[in-house]
Amino acid sequence: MSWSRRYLLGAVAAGAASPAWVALAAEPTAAGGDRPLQAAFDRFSASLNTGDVAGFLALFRDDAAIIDEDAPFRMSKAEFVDHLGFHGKNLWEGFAWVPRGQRIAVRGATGLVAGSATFRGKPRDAGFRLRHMLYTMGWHRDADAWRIVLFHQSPLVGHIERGSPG
Amino acid sequence: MTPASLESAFRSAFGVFWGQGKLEAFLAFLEPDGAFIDEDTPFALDRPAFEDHVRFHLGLWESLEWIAREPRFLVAGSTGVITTAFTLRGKPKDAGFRLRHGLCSVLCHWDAGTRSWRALSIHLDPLLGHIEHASPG
Repeated sequence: MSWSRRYLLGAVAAGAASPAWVALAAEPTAAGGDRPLQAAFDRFSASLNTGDVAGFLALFRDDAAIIDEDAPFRMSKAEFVDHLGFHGKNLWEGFAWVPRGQRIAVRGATGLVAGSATFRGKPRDAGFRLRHMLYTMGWHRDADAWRIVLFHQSPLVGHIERGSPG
Repeated sequence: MTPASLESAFRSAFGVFWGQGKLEAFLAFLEPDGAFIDEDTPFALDRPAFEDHVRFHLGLWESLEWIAREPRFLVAGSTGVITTAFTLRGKPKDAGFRLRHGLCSVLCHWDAGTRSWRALSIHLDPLLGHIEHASPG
């Protein structure tokens, strides 16, 4: 399914009949930092934006911990797949994940990618949707492949509203 | 490099927030080039900025606790991942009290030189943002 014009969420749902649509493929990360980890992150971003479901999920270890922006609890990979499947049930006409300002750090077999991101798209029967977030991703290199062991996204709204008592 | 050693490192570092440690131990836990996102800052901070932010809060509170709830400790080789829910609660000076519930993740690596876990990221975020405006209708 590589580089199809279907977006991920539509593709996750079996039998999704959404029109092919993707607003924006993620920008490649800037030069610098650990190139293999950058390449892995770029695969993550590209697969999320182009509907490469198998490629996207293959980047997650089975024991990965996920905290998604629209769920107030930690999820396992299996729960995350189920959550993505909910979104894929013909709920979106278009969708993109746009990362911004990546920061990369590597210590041996441990990699960090952190930055901000915007979810944007068009839900069916709603005008459009913009959701700005902060994210951190933990990666572990095993057998020369980087895979995700932690994915944490938090909406900016929570970091701003009621940030102080007075 | 076991979940138990990761838990021990977490409790030693974060103990300052429940009255069982020192701020210096917490700061020593943080890697200099890591990324640190606090529940009340809408951007990732580097270590000096995060320390500056933590020190801003010092002196503004009559009491403060940070309570980890249902923490999990995952070790994959030399990589450690801590995830937990949390409650920050206390009494700011000149305000009644404050309760803030959230989610936290910590990405660690095993530093073979010092034989200790070090944090490459700490991500604290309020539950509020995961609930409000989570759906368009």
